[in-house]
Amino acid sequence: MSGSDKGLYAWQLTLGKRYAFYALGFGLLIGASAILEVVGAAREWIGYIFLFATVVMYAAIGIFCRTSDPVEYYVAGRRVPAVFNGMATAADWMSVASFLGVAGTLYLSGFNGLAFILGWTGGYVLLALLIAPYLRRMGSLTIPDFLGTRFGGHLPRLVAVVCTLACSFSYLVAQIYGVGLITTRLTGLSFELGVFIALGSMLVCSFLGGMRAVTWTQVGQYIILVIAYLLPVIWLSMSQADKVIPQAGAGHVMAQVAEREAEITADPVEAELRRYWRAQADLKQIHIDALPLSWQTEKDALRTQLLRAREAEASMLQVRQLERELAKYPSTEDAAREYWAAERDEYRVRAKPPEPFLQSFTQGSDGQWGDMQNNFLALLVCLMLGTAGLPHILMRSLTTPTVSAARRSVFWSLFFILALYLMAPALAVLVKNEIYQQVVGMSFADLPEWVSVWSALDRSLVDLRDINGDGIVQLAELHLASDMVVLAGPEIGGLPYVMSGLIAAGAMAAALSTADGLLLTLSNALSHDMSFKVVSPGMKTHRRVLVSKVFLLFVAFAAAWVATRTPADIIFMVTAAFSFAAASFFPGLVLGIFWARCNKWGVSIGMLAGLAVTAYYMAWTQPWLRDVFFGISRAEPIELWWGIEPNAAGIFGVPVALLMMVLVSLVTPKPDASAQAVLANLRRA
Amino acid sequence: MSNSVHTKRQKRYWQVSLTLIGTCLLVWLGVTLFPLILAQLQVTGTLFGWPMVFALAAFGVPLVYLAIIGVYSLVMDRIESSPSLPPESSELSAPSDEEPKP
Repeated sequence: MSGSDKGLYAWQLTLGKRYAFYALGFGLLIGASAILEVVGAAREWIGYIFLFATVVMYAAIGIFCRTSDPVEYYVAGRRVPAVFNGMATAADWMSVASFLGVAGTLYLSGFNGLAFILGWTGGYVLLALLIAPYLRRMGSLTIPDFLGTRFGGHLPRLVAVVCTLACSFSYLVAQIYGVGLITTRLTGLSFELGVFIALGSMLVCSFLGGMRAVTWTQVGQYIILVIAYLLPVIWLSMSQADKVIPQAGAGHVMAQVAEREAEITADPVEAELRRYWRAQADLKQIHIDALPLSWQTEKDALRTQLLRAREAEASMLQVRQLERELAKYPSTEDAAREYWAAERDEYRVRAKPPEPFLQSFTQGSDGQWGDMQNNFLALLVCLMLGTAGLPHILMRSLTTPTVSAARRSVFWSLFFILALYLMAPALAVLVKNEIYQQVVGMSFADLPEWVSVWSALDRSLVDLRDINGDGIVQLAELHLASDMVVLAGPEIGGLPYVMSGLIAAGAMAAALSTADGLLLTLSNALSHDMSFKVVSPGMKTHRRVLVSKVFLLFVAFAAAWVATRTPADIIFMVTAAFSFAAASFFPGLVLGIFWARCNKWGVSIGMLAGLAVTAYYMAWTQPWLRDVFFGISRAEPIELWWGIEPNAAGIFGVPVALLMMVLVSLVTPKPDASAQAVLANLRRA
Repeated sequence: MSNSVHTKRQKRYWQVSLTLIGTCLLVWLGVTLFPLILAQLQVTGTLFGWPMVFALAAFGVPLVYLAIIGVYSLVMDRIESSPSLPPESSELSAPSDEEPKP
């Protein structure tokens, strides 16, 4: 035993040294780009350098780790030390929505954004206590494999494959979409080309080396994304408050933020602008009510406006703006209804005064329990149970050498995730302070470059126009998308462009690492559990890996195809994955481990029922899905159950799944002797 | 597989595990609800410049989560190091000596 301990220690040391050199290499890359920027190289070149240097590094690790051995391919040979497995899990976990979204959500919705931090960290406690060690003890190759072995028979295995598809595919599409978006913004390449580059760099890793290559790449990606997140936050804190620890720096400027916020709320000019937005929202409502007639009249009005502007030789900017609006004008009456409804909602948001930042449950009036509290709790439950039930995270506990290492790996995962999540509130405060102190009250003549750069890309990201014509920026004139808080944070804070390139490289690493993990989860479930275990059990070893790789290509291209066609709702696709996992895998796995009477009928029907209820609620309440499935227009008002938002749909699926599992298990025969033996082994009893 | 191989200590292992898991889950639940209850009670005050409830929820609770997992794995390691337990069956496929490359 001590011999293998010593071997493991030496192995960890070797790994540590290799990754230290790797981090040093990345540090040199940052330094070199900084020098290039000082010398005066173009901004795009810094973007290209970060993008391609990191992608080449990942590809190199992937090629180095190629394999065709099943245990290596499916579970990285089960010899990833706990610390490194923790890093890989953290990278697997940090999706582009998590990397960019947490600070952005805190910036926009303050205290309510905490549901994400609490849910996404609290879920790891459930994972460590209830699931991870038992998954590892079984020694299975995939999550459906675990359920298949535990309950016996093909039914639970196939149900688990279906649930894996539901949880992971929408998540994968969101990641590929995110990478495409980042590449486009960083380099100016087209979206399709961006998706193609993302696909290529993902496939180099997962196709050649399966879990083994993906694991070691994910460790590398974690190092990049943590550097990319911490460096700009620390820099912002240093420049704003002279404090190295960002939380201390943010705490220092907190009073300033609150004071400025009170000033802005009381400012009559700001109030005037908020009334303007309210009027705009009402106007859109009038247009919607006057459909289908208003579609033609509005189009004509816009054309006339453009002609007049051209004749009067109005400013280039104004003409461009009108041209763009005309180009984007909805092509049909139905499209107009949808488009205007979205605009109306956006204007309504902009008409609201800033809420007291980070104060708890402000809208719920006077301590009354209301929809806000209900939604907070529902989302919290979905995110927690979903975290403990997402197959691509569960799969990472199969790669550790021992059961004990599987537990410690969850500890390290949360440790490495917290390195970023504890910074997110500080980043949100520091960016808010920068906006309040520097941007609001500034003259439009000397706006910083980031405003024009980002708003030229897409007005839904950054929108700043001098609406009242006083030449001074008011808060109500500025619209900032939540992703921009992190992505443009360094520029907003006046940091060098290298930091922006760094953040983009970090977001890219976050998206790629998650996409790789998801891709493997999907293709392994399809190949190992469907093709090998169910369809043709006589398959030879090397053929199994080959089939897996074919499925991998198939899944990757299918996801990329969907990503180039999908409507842009990344956050919803991600929360949907959590709800699905919470309502299927979590109850199935926990009852399977802790309730001996649970049998294959109960678990299969329960998981499907949970999935179905969750999917039904989402399809019924999410405007876009409702349009697809029930043919109800997106502008129609939505009937919610007890005021629960569609992003917490799992809250209805979880109890249904549990109830069905218990009821069906009790009315069907007891688990047979072999299932009981498997369970006894699982509990070491 | 016959059930007669059970020794008393092996049965105890599962009982002790369940007790430990239950205790940890109680702490987890309490810690999660604590800041939410404070928020509902409209407790105000600041902590190092931050609104107190926010700071507790954003920094305190996740760190306690980390501590729960840490304590749980350490205690489980101690329980499992007991010599009366049979070796883990799945650990027979322990790391091989051949050194893989990252």
